[in-house]
Formats: sequence, C-alpha cells, structure tokens
Amino acid sequence: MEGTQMSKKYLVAVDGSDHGWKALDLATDLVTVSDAELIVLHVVPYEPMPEGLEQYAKVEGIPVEEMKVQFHYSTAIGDRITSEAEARVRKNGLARVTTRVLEGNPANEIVALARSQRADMVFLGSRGLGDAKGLFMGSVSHKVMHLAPCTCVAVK
Amino acid sequence: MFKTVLIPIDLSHAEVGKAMIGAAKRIGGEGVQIILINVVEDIPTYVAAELPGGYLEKSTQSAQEALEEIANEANIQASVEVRSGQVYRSILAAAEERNVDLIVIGSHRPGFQDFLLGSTAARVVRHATCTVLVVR
Repeated sequence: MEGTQMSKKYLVAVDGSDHGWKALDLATDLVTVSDAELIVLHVVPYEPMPEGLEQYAKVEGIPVEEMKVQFHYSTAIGDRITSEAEARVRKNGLARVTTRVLEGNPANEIVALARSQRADMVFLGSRGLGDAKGLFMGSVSHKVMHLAPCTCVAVK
Repeated sequence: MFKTVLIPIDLSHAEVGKAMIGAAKRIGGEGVQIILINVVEDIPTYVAAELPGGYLEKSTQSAQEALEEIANEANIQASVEVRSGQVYRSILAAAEERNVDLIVIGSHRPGFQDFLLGSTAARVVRHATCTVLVVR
C-alpha cells in the first residue's frame, strides 16, 4: 500500500443506493480509527457518443446536439448525493472529507481518481442502482475490483 | 465493525497471509474472530489413482499445520480450517456455514500483472453474501 508515511486517503464511491450508503458508513468508521482523510465520489454516468457515429449522424442529417442533451444526466443529482453523503459523514464526527462529482464511465472514473489521488483503499457498494436482479454484483464494482491500483472493499 | 472474518490463504503464497491478517485486524477492530482457511484442490480421479494412498489426508494435515504456523507467527488467536474441493466454492461454503461478515482475500498470485484480479478472488467477490476486501 502506498502512502504509509503520509496520512491515509480513502476513496468511497456513492451512487445513492443502499449498498453505497453502507460503503460510506464503513469507510467513515475506518477513517475515524486510522486518522485518514475521506474522498466521497459520485460519477454521473456519461458515455460520449462515438466519433464515427456522430459523423454518421451528421452525414444523415440527424440532429446530434439534441441527442447529446437527452443522454446527458444532470450533475445536480451528483451534487445532491455527495452533499447528502458529506452531511452523513460529518454527522458521524468526521472533518477531513472532500467531495467530488465527475462525469464519465463510473468504473473508469473511480479507478482513475484512486490512481491520481493515490488512494490507499477504495470502498464501494457491491451492487449499485444499476442491477436490480440481486443475483450478481453490479458491473461497476466488478470492474473496479479488477482495475483498482489498491485494496478494495465491496460492501454488502 | 465486523465480528467474524474469513481469510482464505493460498499456501504457495503464504507470505501475503501476514498482510491479509493485518488488514483483517485493522478493519475488524479489536476482538474480531479470525478464521484462516486453506482449500486443498480436488485432484482428478485419473491423477489421484497414480498418487500414493492417503495423499489427501497428508496434504490436509500439512495445510492445517501451515495455517497454525501462520496464526502463531502473526500472534493471533485464529481458528484454522482446511477443506477440499473447488477453491472458490469451498471458500463461499465456509463463509456461509460460519456466518462470517467479512472475507479478506488476496487479489491474485503475486507476480502476475497487477491490474488483474485472480479468478478465485473475482468469483468470491461476485458470489459472496458478505462484504469482501481485496488486498493489494
């Protein structure tokens, strides 16, 4: 694990699901005992339109800009979720917490932030909002487990 | 935070056991009950036929001793268990039966590229009914 000299950094990804809140609570507990700082992240899912497809649409005279707006979630949801998370964490007596709202592929963004922030541990719910079937783990957590540079916790 | 932690240990890479026990203690807090488990993999019958009798018993016995030694070295009170069968299934079965609330598992055999998650760990993460911590 990196950063043993400095204080530890834990990253928790929340998406507003129950598992996400549980991950946040576990991270809060651990941050408290290990005197670490916590980064709360919400990723607004966004896949940019493939360039080729955009070109195709242009050639065919299909208005692309409208489509883009349609497929774009508002970051207001992310702001809301992270501020709720921050309030929850602060209520539990944690002061060193920062929040981030990013846009993109959730798993990729989580891994990228863990890397750039040199997070010591990543927490996330084992199943988010994406998979309601309840049988398997969400694909986001699975992908993060595979790609994360550090220790990961999938919370159930 | 957690009452019972299951730590599956691959004895050919027992050196990572220490890190996993450390993580379990940190995350589980004081008074956490630690179970070390090793799974002796099933041997196909055509291979088993060629092996001297009592092979499974012997490897179970030596795995048991190795786990006890790891527990001693880490200076913890842990219960140890050796099962035989398919690795990830045995780990999940043990987790169910012993009602553990956390599994601490190594991400893969060291030396492999570090962005990969071993297939056993991946299956455990996917199918476990409790929280899973993957140590890197």
